[in-house]
Amino acid sequence: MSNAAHRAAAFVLFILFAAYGLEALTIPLFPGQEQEPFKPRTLPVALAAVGMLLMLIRILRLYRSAGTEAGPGIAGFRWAPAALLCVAMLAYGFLMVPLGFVLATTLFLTVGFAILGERRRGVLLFLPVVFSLAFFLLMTEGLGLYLAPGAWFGL
Amino acid sequence: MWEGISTGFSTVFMPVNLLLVACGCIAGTFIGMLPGLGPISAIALMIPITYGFDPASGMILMAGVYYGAIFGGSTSSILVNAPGVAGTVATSFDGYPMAMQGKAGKALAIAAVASFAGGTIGALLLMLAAPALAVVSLSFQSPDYLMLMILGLTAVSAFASRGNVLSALIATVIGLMLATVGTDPSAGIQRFTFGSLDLVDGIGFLLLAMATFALSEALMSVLKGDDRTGRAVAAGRDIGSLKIDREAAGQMVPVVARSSVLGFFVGVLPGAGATIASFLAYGMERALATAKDQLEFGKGSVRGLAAPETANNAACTGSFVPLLTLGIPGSGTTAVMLGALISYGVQPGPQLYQNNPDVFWAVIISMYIGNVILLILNLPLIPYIARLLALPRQLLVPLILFFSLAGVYLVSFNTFDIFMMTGFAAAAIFLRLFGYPMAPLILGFILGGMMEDNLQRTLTLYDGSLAFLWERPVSLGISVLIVLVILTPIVRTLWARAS
Repeated sequence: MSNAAHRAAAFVLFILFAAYGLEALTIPLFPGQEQEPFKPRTLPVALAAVGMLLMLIRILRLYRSAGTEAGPGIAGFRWAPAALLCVAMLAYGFLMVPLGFVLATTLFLTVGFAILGERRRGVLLFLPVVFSLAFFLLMTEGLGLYLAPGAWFGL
Repeated sequence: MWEGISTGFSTVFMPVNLLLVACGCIAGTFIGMLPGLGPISAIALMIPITYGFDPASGMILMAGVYYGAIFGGSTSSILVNAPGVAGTVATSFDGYPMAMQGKAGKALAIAAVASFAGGTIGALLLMLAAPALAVVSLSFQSPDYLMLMILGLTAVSAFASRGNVLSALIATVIGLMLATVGTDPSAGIQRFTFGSLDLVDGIGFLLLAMATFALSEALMSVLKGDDRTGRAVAAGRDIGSLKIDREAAGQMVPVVARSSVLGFFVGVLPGAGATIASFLAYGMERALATAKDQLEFGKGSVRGLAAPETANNAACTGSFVPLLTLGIPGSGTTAVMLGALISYGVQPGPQLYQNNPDVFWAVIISMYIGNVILLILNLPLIPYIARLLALPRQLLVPLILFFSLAGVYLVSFNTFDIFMMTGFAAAAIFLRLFGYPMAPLILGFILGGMMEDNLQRTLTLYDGSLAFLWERPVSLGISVLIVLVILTPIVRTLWARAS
């Protein structure tokens, strides 16, 4: 990872710390609370100040050092499957209520297996269904948890 | 104390709890062997399962998982030179060369026996140290606790990241910031919720632990295209004899005695933990060895393998001392355990020893039982557990993602948690890529609430003054330690530059 990338990341974090600090200053107080030694915004403001100070030190150190910094190199990283898995997780969350646990889980696992290169149709179609049903039965019958069948099926 | 020990034994020896220790050890070994997943992920994955358990049973399962995960990490270090956790890196120095010589079974047996001995001696020391410290810590007040928490956080940053102190401190601050999201405990005012009802109760610790460890580690393995399971299976097929010959046993005895004591005391220190203990023990044994024996180190030395294995297990036990007696975790793993205890309604600290002796002693005794089970059950099962890893990565990763997401969803039944987990996992990957460690972040998050409580009490008690820093001897002593902890890496760096 290049020094410039580390500097950019440090700047992003510095901005986040600053935004957190600004938001902390807007935390409402009850009347008379301003005079108290401890307020709901005391720790957040202190943390924002410490965070910004640490980030400034890091940024200055990054400008002084010419070499690369700690952290794994990213050459050869497989970004596409990782990003697609993140999208699949978000979709899993969106589909959980309308489709229900079993169908949403089956879809998530099928898509997850496919994203990572599984091409055997038997595995893609059979395994997620069996796994989701088994897990559903274990939770509902075994542990007594109620898992909604899905809004579409409840209509 | 003897009454407590007998209570602990009777709790642990209940058939259901024995079964839980055994299941925990096996599950922990399996998860610990998986590339990228360490004890923190293993324990976090177990928390949703243990929600319905009583606290003692839950902690017994987790202690088994902890030991199992460390042993699993050692197994992958020995078989495939891929340490699952930082604490078993030193194990690979001599364990892997031994496996390459066709003595994988012997290396695994040495690792198991050394772990057993280290854990057992550690558990005995814990039995003596924990009650004594618990009695002393009853005199601690809010200012002392506040300073202790700051010491824990700075120590984890100073020691855990080996030279990358600033990044670790930044990660700690991020964790503390995340802990402030939700309703303020003192006045009931909402902070950083942006009007969202889902954030009113704050961010769940399990959610954050799963996202920053289990999810992000699984996704990192996808990013790196990491596939060590094939090698693990190949290595697991023929591991040779599990026997330790008399010569090796003779070499191990003094090493185990020295390394277990060293490991335990290093483990007690906040932030030091299993990694530093294992490297220190390895270094110590190398320094104590004769010139001829020193040449063996790195080429399959029995002493070089036994020392870090003993020390890391003893350190794991030692790390429970501050957790159980002060309620302050000294490592990422014990921080996750603290979160689990709080979710069971048990507050660790000096009161735990008095109010919940069954939990206190059951955890200590279960460590010993866990070591016995690891030795008699896991070791013979290793070739079979290694074969279980034949599950290809394209199936394994989505299943890990599913278990992590479902583990959190089945507790809250709120799909917003799945979105938050995905966001935190992406953020964790970003931070990891730029060298910001996750353990200080989760420790900061878990200690954040308690730290704010103690800060509030301290400032109210002293009317906003910082006089407690010099008026209370305990606080003063801890403050001096904090300064030393901060200065140590700076002095070390300056020293290295000068020489």
